[in-house]
Amino acid sequence: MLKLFRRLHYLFSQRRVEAELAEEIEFHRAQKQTRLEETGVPPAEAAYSTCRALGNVTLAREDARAVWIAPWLAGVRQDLVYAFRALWRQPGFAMIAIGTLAAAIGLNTSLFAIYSAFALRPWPAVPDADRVVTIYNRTGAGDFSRAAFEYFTEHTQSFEGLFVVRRAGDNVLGSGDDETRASWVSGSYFATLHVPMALGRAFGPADDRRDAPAVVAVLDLKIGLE
Amino acid sequence: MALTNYPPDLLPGTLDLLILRTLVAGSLHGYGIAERLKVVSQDVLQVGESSLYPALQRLLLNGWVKAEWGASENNRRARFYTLTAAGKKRLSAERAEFERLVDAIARVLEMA
Repeated sequence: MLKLFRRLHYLFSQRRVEAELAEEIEFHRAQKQTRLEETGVPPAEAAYSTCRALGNVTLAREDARAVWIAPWLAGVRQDLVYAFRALWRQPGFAMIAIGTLAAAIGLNTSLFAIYSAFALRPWPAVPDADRVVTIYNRTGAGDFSRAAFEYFTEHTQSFEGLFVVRRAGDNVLGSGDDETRASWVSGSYFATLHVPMALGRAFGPADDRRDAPAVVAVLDLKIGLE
Repeated sequence: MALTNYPPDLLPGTLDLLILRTLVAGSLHGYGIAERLKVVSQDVLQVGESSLYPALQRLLLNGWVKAEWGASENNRRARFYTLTAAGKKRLSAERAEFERLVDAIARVLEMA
């Protein structure tokens, strides 16, 4: 983490840091030359060591830079700068290309946004709605018997809870403008979906039993308040 | 006399270890580090700029040393490197690792 911050700091002050490094290496080289001259090496040879050191210096600076910014990253930056400069010099081409891309991407994005708003509507009352899955039975009539449902509920290891929903035809309450749909569900419905009740109580496993005292209906808040 | 002059990055990471150890005695600038290594190793370890400065930058990146500008012996501007606390920890870790490696090599050489 700290390393990342240091790298970012380097990025922002790159020019200054590189200038400092150049100065540092120059100092090193000057010291070496002074030392050589002190030990009696003639100035020509000392100058030669200087020239030889120039290759070293460039290598040192490049390797030092590679420590902070990965060389491939620096290459990417150079390419981007070059591409931008080239496009800037040809505004007509740039405008057409960018316009085409913008139109295509924008159109796609808006279409999908509209689709997802309608077709992939989120389920506001349920937390973790993306963890809810539907299990279909592909044999026979396509539904589950009560015994099968109870067996699955008892033995499942992959699911937090199971509930069944029956979408029978005549579940319409009210008439005309007040029409609304209802579904028959198992007692575990609200518990499994972790939906809290605003008033009163939800279903429980007790309501599943054949001899349960009352028929329980849960109203969505929107309906209940009208 | 030595067979040849070994660059200190013979074993990878050794140069870092040597620099950290050199800085234990006090702050030094780059040239000072190279000189100290040369003198103490009796001319066997000679580090050039192309290895020394990338290594110092690596130590800076990892926070094992910190650097400050100051005046050298002949009053020129130079950058002095100091060991940090993290650097001291790193030094002992790397030293242990290095000794483990050297033991392993010695054992292989001694084998029957």
